[in-house]
Amino acid sequence: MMNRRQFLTAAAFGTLALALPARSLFAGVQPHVVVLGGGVGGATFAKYLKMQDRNVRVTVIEKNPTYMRPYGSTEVITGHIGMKDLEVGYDVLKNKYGVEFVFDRVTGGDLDKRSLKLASGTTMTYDKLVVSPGIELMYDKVEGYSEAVANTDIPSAWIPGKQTQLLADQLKAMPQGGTFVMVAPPNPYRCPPGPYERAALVTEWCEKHNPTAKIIILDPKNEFVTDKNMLLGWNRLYNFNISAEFMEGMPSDVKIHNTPSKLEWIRAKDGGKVKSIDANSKTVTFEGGSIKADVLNIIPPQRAGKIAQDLGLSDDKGWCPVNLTDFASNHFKDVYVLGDATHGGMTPKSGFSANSQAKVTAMAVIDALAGREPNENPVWENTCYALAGSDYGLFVADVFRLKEGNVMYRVNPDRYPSLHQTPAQIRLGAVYQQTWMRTFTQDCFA
Amino acid sequence: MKKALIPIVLGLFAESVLAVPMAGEMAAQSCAACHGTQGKLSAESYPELAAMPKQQFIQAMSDFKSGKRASTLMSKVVEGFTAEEIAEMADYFAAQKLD
Ligand SMILES: Cc1cc2nc3c(=O)[nH]c(=O)nc-3n(C[C@H](O)[C@H](O)[C@H](O)COP(=O)(O)OP(=O)(O)OC[C@H]3O[C@@H](n4cnc5c(N)ncnc54)[C@H](O)[C@@H]3O)c2cc1C
Repeated sequence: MMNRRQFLTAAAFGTLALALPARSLFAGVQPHVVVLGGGVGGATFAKYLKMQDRNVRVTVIEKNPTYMRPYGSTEVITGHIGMKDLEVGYDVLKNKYGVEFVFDRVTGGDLDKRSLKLASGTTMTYDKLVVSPGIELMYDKVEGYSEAVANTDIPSAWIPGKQTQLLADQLKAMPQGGTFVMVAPPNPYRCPPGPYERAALVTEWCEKHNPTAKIIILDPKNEFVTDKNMLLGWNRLYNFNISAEFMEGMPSDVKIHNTPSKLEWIRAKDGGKVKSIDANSKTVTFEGGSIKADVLNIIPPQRAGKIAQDLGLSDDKGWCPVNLTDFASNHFKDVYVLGDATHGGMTPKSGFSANSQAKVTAMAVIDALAGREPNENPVWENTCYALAGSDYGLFVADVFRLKEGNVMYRVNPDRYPSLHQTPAQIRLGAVYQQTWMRTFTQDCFA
Repeated sequence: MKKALIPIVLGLFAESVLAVPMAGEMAAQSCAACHGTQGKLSAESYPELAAMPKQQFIQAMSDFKSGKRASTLMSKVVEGFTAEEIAEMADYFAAQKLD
């Protein structure tokens, strides 16, 4: 294979035809790239591939004609936005970029034969396949919980849809002084700061609408990404007492509150790990005791979207192993996996990561179609903005690269905001979080 | 035989030749998740990078790095790129035209 510079030289001297893959020597055969899943990873990939080369045919197979974005969906629960605000259409990708869409569900396929089966009974073949199906929620891993219960009584609301609205309605209807219990998921899961942001925004909502309510997080973990910044925000906003292990480096305005906070975080070491639930009474039994909730939100353990399992792309941990240079599947040739479904090296399961992976992989797929080596020094970025309150922003920011071929590392030593940020910077973080919802959606879908 | 094939090949891949990314394009694309595709934004609170003069981009990045300019997260992100890459990203954005 040629590298980039040789390719340019070959192109300039007209020797290109010889170096092109044999397939392109046949008239009218346009390479066909199929994308499974039109979410963040799939949509961004399709757009950037078309931006790179209009001549490649790109078909997205997506089960829903309108995307519902998970990022920002907690704002529906607190009534800041409505369900409609989560909807994102595919018209711009179709009309401006020439991406083709098939609204159907992939039910299986034979990736050795480069072919997918769709629910409608049709078959779709490809030259290259990019799979970005998101996550599967493993409801049954929590004893007493199930998808049926989640749809009617105890929503997870971690994939947006009816459960999101259900949780919003339940919060509004919660009796005064009621108890909202969230069960946080084990690692790894979609959107690392997300459960804690949700707990914070629910607490803020309750301060206004249900001031005697209690919010309790039951956690199988002892820490989370952005924890110190988040806990500091909770201390300032909700009288939360920060335990000693998190106090190093905290600013002097951290208060020790004599009254209990309405927000409580019960970690694994304090018995926060859930053993089972009784769905009828919304009673949660955990290692440290049991609580009867008025509203119960369970974010169950996760793995790669079901279709990734069915196609044989995942491993025994439930996620899809990939070659980190280009996110090509370790299991099948001509297949790439993006987004939450991958192990993804160090990139967290965030929309930002899925978008960043998609751009790098779009370049790699163009390179593969043109018979070039992929860029051997790829770079990915991740930023998860999160809120401790509507006006209290924080974030984690990462730049990732590879060393020794296939080992990903974070380049920037420092990834969190300073604990000594000024109030104006904290507020600006919240403004930027809201801005990001718009500019990011555009970068993926428009 | 070969002669007949070449025009077809070029017809198909004419744009692929252009598709070789310019230096810095991959790095610059990582900015787009906030600052807009190709750095293009309209009326948002993030600065628009498209068409920013090269020197201005480089100065901003070096001020974020040194702490001379306060930021929320740019001081972290800038650590991820070399001076050469920042110059290439500056070229990429300077070459973009505003819509
Ligand atoms: C509450 C919450 C807050 C979040 N906040 C942030 C944030 O602030 N910042 C951030 O970066 N990320 C955030 N995220 C995470 C982000 O939304 C996900 O990481 C991102 O959507 C992952 O992209 P993806 O392409 O892997 O999956 P998705 O975006 O879920 O896309 C998968 C698509 O595949 C389709 N699909 C699946 N199976 C099939 C099939 N068999 N056939 C056809 N189509 C199929 C689905 O319909 C879906 O459209 C948040 C998530 C949640 C839940």
